[in-house]
Amino acid sequence: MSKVPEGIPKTAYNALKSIVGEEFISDDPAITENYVKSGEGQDTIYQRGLRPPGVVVLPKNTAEVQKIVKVCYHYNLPYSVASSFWATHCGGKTPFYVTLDLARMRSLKWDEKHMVAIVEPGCIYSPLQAEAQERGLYTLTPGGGSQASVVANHLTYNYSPLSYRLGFPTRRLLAVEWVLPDGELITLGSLTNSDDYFWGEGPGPDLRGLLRGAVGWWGKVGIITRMAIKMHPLFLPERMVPEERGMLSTLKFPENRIRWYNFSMPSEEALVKAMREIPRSEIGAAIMKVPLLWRYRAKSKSREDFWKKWIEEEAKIKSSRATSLILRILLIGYTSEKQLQYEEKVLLQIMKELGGELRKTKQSDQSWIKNADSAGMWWPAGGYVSVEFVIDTLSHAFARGKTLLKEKETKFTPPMMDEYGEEGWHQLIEFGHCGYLEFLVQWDPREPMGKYKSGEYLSWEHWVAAQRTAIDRGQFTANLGALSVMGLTSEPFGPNYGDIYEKLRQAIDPKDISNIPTDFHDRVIHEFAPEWEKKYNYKPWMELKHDGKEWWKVLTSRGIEWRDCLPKWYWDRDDKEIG
Amino acid sequence: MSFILEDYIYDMRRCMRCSSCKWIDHIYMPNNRFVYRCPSYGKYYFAQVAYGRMKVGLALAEGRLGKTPKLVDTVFQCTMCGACDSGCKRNLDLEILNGLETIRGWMVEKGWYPRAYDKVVSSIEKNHNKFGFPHESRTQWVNGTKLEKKAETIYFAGCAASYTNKEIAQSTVKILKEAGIKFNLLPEEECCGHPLFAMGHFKAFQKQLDHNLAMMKKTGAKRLVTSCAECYKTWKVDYPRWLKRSTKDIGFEVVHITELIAPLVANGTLKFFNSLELKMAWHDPCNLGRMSDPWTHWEGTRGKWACLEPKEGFPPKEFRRGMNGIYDQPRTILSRIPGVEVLEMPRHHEFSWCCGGHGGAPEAYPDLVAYTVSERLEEAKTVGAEAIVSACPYCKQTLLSGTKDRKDSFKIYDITEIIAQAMSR
Repeated sequence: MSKVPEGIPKTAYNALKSIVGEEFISDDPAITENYVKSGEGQDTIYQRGLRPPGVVVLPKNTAEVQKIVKVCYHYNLPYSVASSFWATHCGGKTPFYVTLDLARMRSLKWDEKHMVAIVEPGCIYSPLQAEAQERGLYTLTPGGGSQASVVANHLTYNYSPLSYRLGFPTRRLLAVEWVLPDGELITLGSLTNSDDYFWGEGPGPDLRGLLRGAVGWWGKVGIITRMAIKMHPLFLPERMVPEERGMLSTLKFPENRIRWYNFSMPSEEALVKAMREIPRSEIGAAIMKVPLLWRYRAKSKSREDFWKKWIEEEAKIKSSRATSLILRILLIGYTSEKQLQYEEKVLLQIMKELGGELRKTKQSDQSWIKNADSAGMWWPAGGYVSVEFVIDTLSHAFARGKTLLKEKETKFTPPMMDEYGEEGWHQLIEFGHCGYLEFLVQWDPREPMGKYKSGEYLSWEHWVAAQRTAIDRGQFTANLGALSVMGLTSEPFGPNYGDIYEKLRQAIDPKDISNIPTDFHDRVIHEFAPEWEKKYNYKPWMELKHDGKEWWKVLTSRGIEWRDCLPKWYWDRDDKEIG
Repeated sequence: MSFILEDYIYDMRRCMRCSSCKWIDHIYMPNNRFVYRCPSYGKYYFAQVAYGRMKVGLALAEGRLGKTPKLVDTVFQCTMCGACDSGCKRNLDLEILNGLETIRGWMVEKGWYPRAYDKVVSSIEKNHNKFGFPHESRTQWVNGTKLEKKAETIYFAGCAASYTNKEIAQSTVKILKEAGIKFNLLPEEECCGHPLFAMGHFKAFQKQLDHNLAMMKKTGAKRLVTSCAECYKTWKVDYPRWLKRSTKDIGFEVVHITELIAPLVANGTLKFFNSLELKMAWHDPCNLGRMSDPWTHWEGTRGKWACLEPKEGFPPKEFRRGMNGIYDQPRTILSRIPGVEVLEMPRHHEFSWCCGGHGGAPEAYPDLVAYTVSERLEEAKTVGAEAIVSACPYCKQTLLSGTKDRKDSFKIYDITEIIAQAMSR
C-alpha cells in the first residue's frame, strides 16, 4: 500500500495547474462538493463512503492526462477518473485524492470505411448514435443510459435488450490508447505500429483482455483516453425521426422494418418457453420480460399519477398474475421488409402455440436505440438499488429472481416497495445463450425504516442478504464483483479472481494510486470494516474474502459440495439450455 | 413553490446527477457538436451546472458549506435560461429552476453575490430602468404615436424597447394598429423587475411588482401585451408566483405580441404584402418558450412515496415542464411571410440554446455571454441561416453583439420588425 501524503502538497497543486492552466483546476469546496453523490444518491451501494476530491483537474487531451498521472505518481497522490460521472464507481473514498474529470475530452471521430468510431471518455451514447445513423451505422445504447460514457461502458457492463442480437459491446473493442498508472502511454491493436485505430489485435499478447469484462476494473489499471469501437450497419434505409417532446419524445419506427410486440403470457412456464423458442427460431432483435413497475411508469403522467394507478390497481394486479407476465419483443427486418414479415409469422406461430395474447404497444423507441432513461430508476420512490444483475442461463435468471423475491418479501417489504410478486427484469443476451436478471428494489428514503433505521442501512442490509442467498443456494451473483462468490473463493471455483486481480494490480499499479480505493479495494474494507461490523455485523463476512479455505469451510458447513459446486450447476444447465 | 431554501431540500437531495440538465433531449441529439443545453457547463465545466448547484445548495442548506472563493461564481455563472429545469422534468420532476432562484435569493440575503449587480439594482431603484437612463425619457419612443385614452389592452414596452431598442416598441405599435387593436401604455411604466428577480434581489423585485401591478389595476384593462420575453415571463409567471396566485387569477390576461397576432395571421385578418426573401433561423427566447408555462399556485405537502398531496381546495399539482410556452405562434407567423424560409436550429423548443444575455450574466460574466452567443451563431451557420430572428430585445442585443464580435454576416431581427416590414403596404 502506498504512503499517501496528508493533503495535496502545494508543489503538486502547482505542477497540476501548470499542466491544465488555472481555468481547469480547482480545490475549492464549492467545486469539489460536486464530485460526490450527496442526497439520496449516496444511499445506494456504490456511492457508499464517497468523499469529495482534494483537487479536480480537467485535462484536454491524452498528453495532459499523462502529465497529470506522472505528477500523481511522483507525489504518491491517489487519483480517480470521471467521465460522465453517472455511475460513481469512479468516485474516490480516500482523503486528499485528485479527480481527473475527462469532460473536455469528448471527441468522436469516424473511420466510416471500416465502420469504426473513435471516442474519447467524455463522449456519450446519444451523439454517438446520432452521428452513426447519419453514416448508416448504429450500436446499442446500454441500460446505464444514453448519458453514459461510451469508453467507460466498453470497459464495464454495457449491455441492453439489444444485446440479444448485438452481444456484448466489450467484444467490439478495437485499438486503444491507455495511460498506465505510472503515466506511461501504451497503445493496443493497430495503433501499435500506425496511427490507425481500425484493428484490435496487435503484436504480442492481446492486453484488451485486461480491460474488458462484465464488471471490469473500474479504473484500477489506468486511464483509457481513446478507444476505437466497431459499429453495426444500420438496418434502415432512412433515419428514424424524432416525434413528440419532453417526457413523450421518441423515435418513430418505420413499421415495415422494425416493430415492438407485447404479449400477455398465460403462465410463467409459457413465458420462459417463449424465451427459448424465439432464439431457437433465430428471430428477434430484443426479448425481455419487463417488470410491471416500468410499464406503469411508461403510461403515467407524473409520479403522483403512477402511484394513484399502482395503488388503485393493486387488486387487479394481484388477482391476475398474467397481467404482469408480459413478454416484449422487438423484431427488425435487418435486410428487408420481407425479413420482418417472416419473423412476425414465426413469432405469431410460437405465441399461438403458447397462448400468448398480443397487446397494444407504441411503435416507437423511447429506450435502447438512441435514448435509455436510467434516471427513471429513482423516479417511483426516490431510493433505488439493483441488488442483483446476473448474466447466466435463463433458468438460473428465473431461479435467482424467485430467491431474491422471497428474500425481499419476507424480510424487507415494507419498507421496500411492494411490487406484487415481481421477480425482476429478465432478458436474453447473445441470441439466448445468456439469460439475464436484474433485481431492482425501490424504497422511499423519507419513510420510517423501522428496524433498518435509514434507507442506507436498509439498502445495504438487503444487498448483503441478497448475496448471502447466492452462497446458500449455489447461485451465481455478479453484483459483488471481487467480493462475490468468485472473489471469495479459490480452487473450488477455478481461478481465484481475487488473487489474479491482486497480482495484476501489483504489476500495473505498484504504488496503488489509480482510482483508489474502489469497492474492490482492500483499503475500503480496512477503513470501513470496523464501522460496518458495529453497524451491520459485517466483519465476519468481509474477512472471508481473504481466505479461500475459510470460505470453503463455510460452504461445507452449509452442506454444499464445493468440489462439484461450480461445474455441476453451471455447465449442466448451460448444456441443457444451449442444446 | 416558496423562496425558502429549506423547502428545496427534497429536490436537491433527489438530484441523481443524471445530467438531463446538461445534455439536450437524447432523442433529439443532433450530433457530437451541439450536445449541451446548459451554457454554463459548456463554458466552465466543474460544478457550473444544475446538478452541481443542487449539491452546493444542499450543502449550504445543511450547513456543510460556507462562503468559499468560488462559491459565488459557482452559483451565479449562469444565464438562468431554465433549460436544466425542462431537462430534469423529462425524467425526475424536480423543481430545479425554482431551486436555483431560491439559492440565489438566499445568497443575496447574505451579501454573497457578484458586486456587478449593485449597479443594476441601484439603477432600477433610482431610474426605474436597468440602463441608468432618466426615467423621464422612457416614453420618448412614442414620438407622436396616437394612443387611446381608455383601452382594454395595455402595451408594456419594457426597458429595452423604451430606451435601447425603440424599433421594437415602434414596430409593435404598428402591428397593433394594423390589427385594429386599441391599446394604451401603462401609466408610469417602470422596469418589470426581471433582472432583479433573476439576480436574486427579491426585495427590490417586489417594489417593481407592487408599482406595476398598482398601475395596471388603475387602468382597469383586461389585457397586457408585451414585446419583450423577459417582461412576458415576469408578468405571467413571476408576479403571480410571488403573490401566491395563479396566472389566470391576476385579474388580466398577459400575452406576448406573437401570441396575440398569430391567430390573426392564420385566419387571414393580418396580411403580409412584402416578400422578404430571407432564410431565417428562429431563436426561441428562454423566457418566451420553456419558462413561460403559466403559473398555477399550489399548496400541499409531500406524502407517502413523496407524492404531492394537495391541500383542500387545490387540484393536483401541474408540473411546468416547458411544454406550454410560446413556440408555435412565432413559427406560424414567420412561415406565412412571403419569401421567408424558416429554419430550425439543432437546439430548439424546450432545449433551445440560450443567447447568453440574461440572468445577470451580461453584468457579471461577459465571458459567459460571449461563449454562449458564439455557440448559438455557430449553430445558425450549420442550418444555412442568413438571418436570426427572436422575440426579445435582449436576445437581439446579444445576438447582434456576438455577430459583430465574430464578424459574422447574419442579420439579426426582432420578430416585430419582420412582421412590421412584411405587412407594410
